Amino acid sequence: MQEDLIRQLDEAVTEVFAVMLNLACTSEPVPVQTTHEYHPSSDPTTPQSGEPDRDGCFTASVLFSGPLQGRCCIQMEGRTATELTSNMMGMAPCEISPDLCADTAGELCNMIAGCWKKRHPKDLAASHLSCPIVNLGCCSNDAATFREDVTVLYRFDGHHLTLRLAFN
Amino acid sequence: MRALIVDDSPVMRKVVERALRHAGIEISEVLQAGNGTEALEVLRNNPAPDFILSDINMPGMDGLQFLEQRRAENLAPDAPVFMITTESSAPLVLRAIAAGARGYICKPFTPEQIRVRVVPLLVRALAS
Repeated sequence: MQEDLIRQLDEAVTEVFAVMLNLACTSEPVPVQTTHEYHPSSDPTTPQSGEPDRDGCFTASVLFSGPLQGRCCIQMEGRTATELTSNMMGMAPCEISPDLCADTAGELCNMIAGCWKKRHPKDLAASHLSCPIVNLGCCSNDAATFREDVTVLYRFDGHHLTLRLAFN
Repeated sequence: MRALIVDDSPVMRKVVERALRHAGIEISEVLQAGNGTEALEVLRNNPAPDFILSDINMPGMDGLQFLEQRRAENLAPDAPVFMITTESSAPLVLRAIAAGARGYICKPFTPEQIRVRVVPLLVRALAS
């Protein structure tokens, strides 16, 4: 079951990265318990406020509701978010603001969640996706427990990001 | 051609605009709105665009509500509307078509997918 889940997530990430970014990435599953260690200096649960830092961390979540209850969460460093935003918008990295980085993290999370969802039978695919919720800092290690819960690390061009998929 | 792009994400609005240009659609002006309410304001206060591309899932007024209100107010009635969204379930697609959408494009998308879906309907709309 978990292998299927990871395969479907890999397919979704591969599709989004290939189509929207023209990038190939490799993946490796990581234990859920270590997810919050991705950015140890950040509070794992509380969204941070204030001006985003390019060197900081962006976390975006999309919630599933309906037949599927859960969340998809993407987490990346500021330099990775800047690179992805630059790629998507066709702008130089120096022109990319932290707000745009946050927006990119949210949109990528949204597209990956949508791509993953559509790989399911019709009844589950009819689940609703929320608008992306973006936090500055790391907040993926929420207290909720889910029947299925995987975290995968994706690497591309010297960058990496993590994706967590958790649902009941 | 004048396009109205409705999406709460500034990044996606830019991506859609780039995809339209890469698809070979000559765009002279791009109007933008961050949700349905803003899109209605744009339509009320500007000459009608030649076509509209709208996301569905947006905070505030969503894309389906925008379509319904646009129809109720008869705003830019000749401009074909294309939905660009991650939501691809059949009931949602049918709701969008019933509310007046002429095409449906799923994210992620390529410029080629934009060209194939949008250009034929634009040609037909201009001819009529």
